[in-house]
Amino acid sequence: MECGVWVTVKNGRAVKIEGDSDAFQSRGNCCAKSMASLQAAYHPQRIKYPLKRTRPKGEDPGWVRISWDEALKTTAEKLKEIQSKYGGKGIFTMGGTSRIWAMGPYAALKQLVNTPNCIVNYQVCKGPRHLATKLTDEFGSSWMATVDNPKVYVQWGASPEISNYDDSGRTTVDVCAQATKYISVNPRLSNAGKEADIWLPLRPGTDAAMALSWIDVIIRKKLYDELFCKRWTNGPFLYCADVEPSGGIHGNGWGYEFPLKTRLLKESDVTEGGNPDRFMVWDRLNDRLTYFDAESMLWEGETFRPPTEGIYVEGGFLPEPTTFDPPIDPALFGEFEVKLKNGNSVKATPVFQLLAERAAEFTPEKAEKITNVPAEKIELAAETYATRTDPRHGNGGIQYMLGIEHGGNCIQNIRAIALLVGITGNFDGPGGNRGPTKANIIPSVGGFSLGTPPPSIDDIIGLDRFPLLKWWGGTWSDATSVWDAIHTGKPYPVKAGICQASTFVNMANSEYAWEALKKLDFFVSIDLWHHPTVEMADIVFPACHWLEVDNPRISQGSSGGIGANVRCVEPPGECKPDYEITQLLFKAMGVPYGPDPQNPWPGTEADLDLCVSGLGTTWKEYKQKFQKEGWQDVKKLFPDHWGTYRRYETGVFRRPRGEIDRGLLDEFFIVKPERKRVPGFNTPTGKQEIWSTVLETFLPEKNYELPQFEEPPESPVRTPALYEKYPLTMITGRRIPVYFHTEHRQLPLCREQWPVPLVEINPETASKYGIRQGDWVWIENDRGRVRQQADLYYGIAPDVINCEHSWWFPEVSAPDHGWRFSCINRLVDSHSQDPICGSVHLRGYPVRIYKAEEGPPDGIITTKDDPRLENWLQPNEEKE
Amino acid sequence: MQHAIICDLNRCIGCLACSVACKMENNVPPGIFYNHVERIGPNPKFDGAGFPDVEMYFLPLMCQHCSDPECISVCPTEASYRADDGTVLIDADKCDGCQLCIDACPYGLRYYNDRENIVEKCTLCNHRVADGKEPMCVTQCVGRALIFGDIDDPQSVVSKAMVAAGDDVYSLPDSGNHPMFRYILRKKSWKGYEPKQAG
Repeated sequence: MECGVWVTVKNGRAVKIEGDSDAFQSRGNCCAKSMASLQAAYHPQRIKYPLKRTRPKGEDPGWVRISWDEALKTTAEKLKEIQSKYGGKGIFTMGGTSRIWAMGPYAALKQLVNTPNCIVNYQVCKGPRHLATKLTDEFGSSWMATVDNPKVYVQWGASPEISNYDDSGRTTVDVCAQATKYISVNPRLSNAGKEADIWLPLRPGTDAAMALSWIDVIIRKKLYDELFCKRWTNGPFLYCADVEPSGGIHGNGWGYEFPLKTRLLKESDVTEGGNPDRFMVWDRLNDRLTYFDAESMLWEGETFRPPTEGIYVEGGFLPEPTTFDPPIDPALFGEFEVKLKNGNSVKATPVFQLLAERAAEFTPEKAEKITNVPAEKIELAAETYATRTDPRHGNGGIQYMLGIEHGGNCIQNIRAIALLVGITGNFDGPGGNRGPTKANIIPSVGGFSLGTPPPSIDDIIGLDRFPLLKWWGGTWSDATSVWDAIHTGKPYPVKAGICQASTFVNMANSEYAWEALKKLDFFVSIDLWHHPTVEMADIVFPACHWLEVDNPRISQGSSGGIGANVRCVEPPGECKPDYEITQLLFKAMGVPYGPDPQNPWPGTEADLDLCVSGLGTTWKEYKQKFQKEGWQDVKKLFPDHWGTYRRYETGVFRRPRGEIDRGLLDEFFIVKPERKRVPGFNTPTGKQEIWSTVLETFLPEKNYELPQFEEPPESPVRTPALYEKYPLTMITGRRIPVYFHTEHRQLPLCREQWPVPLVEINPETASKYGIRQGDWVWIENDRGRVRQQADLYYGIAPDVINCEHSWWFPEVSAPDHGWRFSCINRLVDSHSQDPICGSVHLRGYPVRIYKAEEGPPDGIITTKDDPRLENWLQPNEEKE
Repeated sequence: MQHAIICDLNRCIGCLACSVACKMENNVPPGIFYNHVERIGPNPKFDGAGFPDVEMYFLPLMCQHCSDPECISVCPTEASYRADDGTVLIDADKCDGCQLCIDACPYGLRYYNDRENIVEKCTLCNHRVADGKEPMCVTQCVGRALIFGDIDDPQSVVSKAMVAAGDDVYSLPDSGNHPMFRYILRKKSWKGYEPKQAG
């Protein structure tokens, strides 16, 4: 979404940040964090020069200022030394979130040292949603066009009103207020959720049971979009237990090919010499088998005729759904006898029937027992979502966010919700789950190199435990497995790391990660602050604040705008933009960065030009146009692509066979108008896959093909004995209005609003433990204990508490800066992971709580009038 | 003429943008807030109710620009006064920092700035209003909950909003000071407001 903001500069100094009222995609929104970030630019604690440590790791680093030349030279020498001893794979990159020009660790920095290994937050934030949606229909379809004003608004494990990035708070509040019904699925009462028409306060980690229960209601009450299910999902495809898994050669679209192994019935199963890409369905109209051809993407006898009739909705063209021509009626229900090519007669069942049966295990009555939400409420919510308020299209998408990614069973949670969106006809519909805005500009400047090939992912760390990582293009190596490798040397030694804008407190157990950082021979950090992560580095590079960076912007998500980040002020000291630092590292290592071998390190202006060249413009022109005209509407720029709904009908999604995309880069940003139009989706069956043929292929015999609910790894049902010792379920990770993960703890405008981490406790529970409002409380499990301050909150169940995440205390001395005091990920089990994508289970741990008689941790700021806040306003003096 | 802010509490999501915007605009030092946001609840919806039968709202609080406020009458130096548009203001040149007005405010919405030995509070951004703009908290309100205008003018956005809200309009408790700000709260029970003890 990228809120458009105006920055006022006086005498070279930025003095005000406010909402850009013309920015249609964010509606003039400007949150507390955005305004307060002004104080970050001029903060006395900013890192302003390259630094090297002079003391051993684990102590105050004793930073000493060095020149850029020395920092680059030392880094290049050390990294080469590690490479020569252990290979590039002995180095990992470490990347964070959101600073779009700091995405080096996701590709470029891996290319720099030729390693497949990285620890990127994407593995626990949006990445699972993108992986699961790539499995199911289209990469990134988790993103929903909230800006289209959906008629019924569903937030699921989400609180975008005070969150970040996917939608502006203002858009969210508008939509909550204007939707005919607003449904919140959330274990706790959220800030906007207080206004919900229907609130489903489910037991943490039971989201898949809830989603399957909705599917049950929707199928039983025939509220699904029947034509979509028959024509665009693999619901009518026939599952046959009696065939050997087989299939044609398919790709992930990013250059990796594999033989499909599915028990969905294919022409090759029933006819000698039959085509393995032809998937069989039972045609009720003619009482016979017919097929869908996943190579031509057409049904038997069909010719591709993109729809031309339709209506305009929310500034986009909504084509009329196409029907079967020649007419057929693929069966969604029943059981059919089919004759295999070996002559055997066997039973085959439509996938949709199997989904109905799976969902029937979670009728609202049964789901009530699992989720603790009354059956009638579940039924009401499902009916409200799926009953169309406008017969021409669905009510809108489902905005599902981090809550469901962090609750154990994450890929299946996402699949279940994505299918809910699909079967109700809301995929790529108005207000639906439309996926990333693509506009042919690349905002991740410095995130990739066109001069050096991507590293091989054959021995990416974590592949042994998570075989799907290869299909996932090595987008991440498993974070826990990388920390394991540093600790154990297995499967091979990892000795160095390059970190850009990230921290160790997000995945795995933080103590485990911290100890791993200590063991590295060499660690580089590119950052603005002396976060504890940075205090483990050998060399530190000073990065620019966003006010100091030029960069094109594209709406992350479905809000459909492009704009720019314009350098407004000069950086302090010797700070440089992250992408410049990345390019300087390539030069120092002698590795080509840009596409021209004659000019391998062309500088940042050339990099920026390249990133907007897809619009036939230069950075300078693009920036000038933006400063004059503001944000551009991508619906108008690309009317046949972003400006059209139901793009599976018009043939925009599906890659023609043989064409390869450049992984995330193309998936996120690039429109290909010249591409041949082919209807359908980029899945092996070409349909929205209710039955995941990729999971069937890579994780056979695990029963992962249909969405499934499993109890979280530690839960009152799965581990009741643990609950005798630790009777409360701790959730975490909710958004704090003035902080973004670890950011902003040193900004007076933020810290005075929210001085300390709070743990929400139901007053009944608090009273049981003798805890009063404002008491400091220990939160403890076998892995450790941390302190947060009690906030008595009736909006959370008595057997659940809600802690804050990512706390550290910049006012406390190096190297720890108090991270251990309150960091909730000290209680995390590193190896408790989603079995499909490896994301660490972060929310929903059994704990016990008791009053901390000793009060707050020593030396931290606990009040809004602590004089240290004022010290953080002192001028940005040259020191170090 | 009476300028005032009306807050639609059903649209307020406790994001704190108003408070931060005010501080940025008015250069308010750390620890002092011309406006702040309180969470009211969650409270049980009825006697004996508990989770999840609870309700909650957020309450942005700033000087209510009362029409007959004691903060003005107690001021020994005539620093506190009502401007022509009904805004209650403090003339910093006349204020000697005696803080009598702080005790006089029934809502605790005046603040002592010990750096300059003066009392400060919400000015309704009179410098912006003079320029034809809205107060910064209103402009930056994420939920568009805060609206600004002349409540004496029946055609103003604030008057219209109050008419549309019917019986769901509330004010902070009135002990003769006549607060001019209004709060709209639908489908929930208004809990009034008692300021916390100073400290």
